[in-house]
Amino acid sequence: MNDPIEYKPNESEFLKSKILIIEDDKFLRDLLSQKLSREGFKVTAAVDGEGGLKSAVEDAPDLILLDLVLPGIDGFSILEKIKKETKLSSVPVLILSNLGQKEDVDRALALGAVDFMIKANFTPGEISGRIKLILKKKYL
Amino acid sequence: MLYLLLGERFWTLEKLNSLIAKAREKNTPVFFLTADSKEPISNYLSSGLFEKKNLLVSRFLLENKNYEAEIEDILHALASSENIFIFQEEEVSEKWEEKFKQAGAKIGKAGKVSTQKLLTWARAEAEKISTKLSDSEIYAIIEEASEDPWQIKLLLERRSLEKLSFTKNSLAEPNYFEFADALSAKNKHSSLRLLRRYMKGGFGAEEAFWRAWWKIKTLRTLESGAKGSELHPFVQKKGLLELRNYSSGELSKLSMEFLDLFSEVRRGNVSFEEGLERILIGI
Repeated sequence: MNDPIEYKPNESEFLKSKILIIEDDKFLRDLLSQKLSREGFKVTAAVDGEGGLKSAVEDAPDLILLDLVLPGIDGFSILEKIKKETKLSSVPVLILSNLGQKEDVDRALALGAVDFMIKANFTPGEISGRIKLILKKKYL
Repeated sequence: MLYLLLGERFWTLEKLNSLIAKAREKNTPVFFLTADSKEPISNYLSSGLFEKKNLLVSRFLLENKNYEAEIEDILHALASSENIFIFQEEEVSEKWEEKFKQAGAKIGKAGKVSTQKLLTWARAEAEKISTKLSDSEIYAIIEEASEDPWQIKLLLERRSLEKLSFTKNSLAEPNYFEFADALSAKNKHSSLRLLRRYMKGGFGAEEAFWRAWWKIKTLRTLESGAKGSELHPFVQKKGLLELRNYSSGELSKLSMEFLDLFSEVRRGNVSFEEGLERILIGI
């Protein structure tokens, strides 16, 4: 008997993935939402951690783009909660932050973030590229 | 390895971006310290036996007096480390420049970037994302971004997406610069009319708020005199004309009202639309 064939979605399929953006900066949130939607992703956005977590639990995304400095609960605590939530623990979380100290990066990665991007170094095109790479690794 | 990038912000940021991009190509971890950071630089000095070397970008760290003593102590160690340390400063005293020089730092200095060069750079960046903009649109973006290359790239991206959505949906495209210009012209009726037009078209008042805030910040920078000379000549010329419309007290009041509005909106006490209308009625 042949081994069962593992299902591997192609690129056009993972481009339909759901991305949740948790970002309080309206300008960046809108810009990334527009950019990612235009590339085919299904995008939802939240302005703070609580809203983001609620949205993620209600409809689990395929990837979360998370800012660290947020009103109310900070991004580190949100990341911790995401990783403790059974439904969300395997969802890759990509950090996009203005923070760039080693201890911030190390802390986020130790909490389970898949990658850490410092805002001022990446254009929306590059962020989108990184998202595709993470999803490709996840699905292919 | 130690670098000191001195001078005009646009140039130092661009230089930084290209060094960071090279580091990223080699998978070198990049970290940042800014004037309000607390982590000691010595944390970045040694990399473990199996760790990759890293790049530390220190932005305007000498503005923080708490870092001065540490920098002075470890400058030579930074220069001889396998890790890369880049200090970005607008200007430093001769004493500090000499210390960096003696430690063996590579020092890069730049003067003001010409309007033409800035325009050419921004035009090329726009072309990279397949966007064609007029010179006046590019100038407006440079002004709004305070010549920060990353902000310029983000604004170009937004213009590119706006243009695409304009073509796709045939929606009236709001021009928030018109709103900011009406405010700096102290034209109450025109600014209110534009704000209402945006609302009617289903566009947000928050965008209008931020565009206007950038304008106020520019005018306040110009008003402070000494710092005004650091602005781009185009921005400076336009801003100085607009500054004639406000007294120092009026500008300071306007700035406070904008800051208060932002706090009130964050607390959920008022909307941008409502708050902006209230401010505009008072100008």
